Amino acid sequence: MNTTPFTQATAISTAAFVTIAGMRLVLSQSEIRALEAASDVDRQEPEQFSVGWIQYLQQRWPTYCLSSELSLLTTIPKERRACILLASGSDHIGILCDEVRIARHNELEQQHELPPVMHLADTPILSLVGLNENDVGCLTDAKQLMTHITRLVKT
Amino acid sequence: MMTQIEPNFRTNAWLLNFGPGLRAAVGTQVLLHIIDDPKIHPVPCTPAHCHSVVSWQGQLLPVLDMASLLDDGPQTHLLLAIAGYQDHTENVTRFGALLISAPPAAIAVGATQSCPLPEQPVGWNKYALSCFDYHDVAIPILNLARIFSPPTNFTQMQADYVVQNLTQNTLEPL
Repeated sequence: MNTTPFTQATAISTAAFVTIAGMRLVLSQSEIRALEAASDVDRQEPEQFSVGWIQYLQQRWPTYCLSSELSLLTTIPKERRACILLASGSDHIGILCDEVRIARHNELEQQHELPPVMHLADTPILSLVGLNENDVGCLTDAKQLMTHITRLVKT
Repeated sequence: MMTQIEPNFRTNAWLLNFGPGLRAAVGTQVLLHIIDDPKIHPVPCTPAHCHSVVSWQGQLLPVLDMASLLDDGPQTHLLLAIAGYQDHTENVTRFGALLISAPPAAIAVGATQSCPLPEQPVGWNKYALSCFDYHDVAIPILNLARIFSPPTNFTQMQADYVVQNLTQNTLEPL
């Protein structure tokens, strides 16, 4: 298994840990355009499989609630206290999460490839980050997450 | 707790227990560590039989549940066996972790003990290199390169290579 400097495969100068039910997603901070309280999500008339809408730049964007398995939830657990607005090009979506934390520089020194036996064709996980002996982050990006959610909604 | 395992010099295989009625073996050089009460980390959007990683010597290793792989239902596992194997696609040594339900037992196996694979679970056809009789029980020899590879990445040519090389080494009497 290869261990490579974090900056090599997916150049993230500043990353954020987005915690969902104990699972940590690692996202580029530049793709997180806004951080709101979950209570700011407009719950009225949500799109199918979404939980509401979040406002950004005079538009509203569908907001989704994910499990630690990255499956869609239509009932929001009480731990989902925050909402990140993710951007990929001109597309935006909101994702509810428990906590968001900016990564310290020394937390991102090592990146590990997802072991081949774990690599499903449609996984949004790009690689893994060993944070310490007791924690692992799952590196993804806004485009992968949007594609994953779109696939879940269509199926 | 991590334990360095040392096989007895007269033995040439480790007998692994994956739960009731589900056992298999690997060569003595294959197993490197046994980890008791391991801290494993689930990874989303991964196969049910390999859904977690464990941190080991600066690497994140896949944690594989043989019972789940063989459709034998979920099992309660207590230990992790860290194994090394040759990835013949890239000609490198790779490492993985197997969930086991009891400490491995060191055994001696000879070529005269060769026998057919057990009929159940049927998955042994895909994941075993060969098989030997041990106290009237058929014990498959794990094909770790196959087990830890994505199905589409494992060609028949690689399978033949593994069988030719590893079976001979594993079953050679001391």
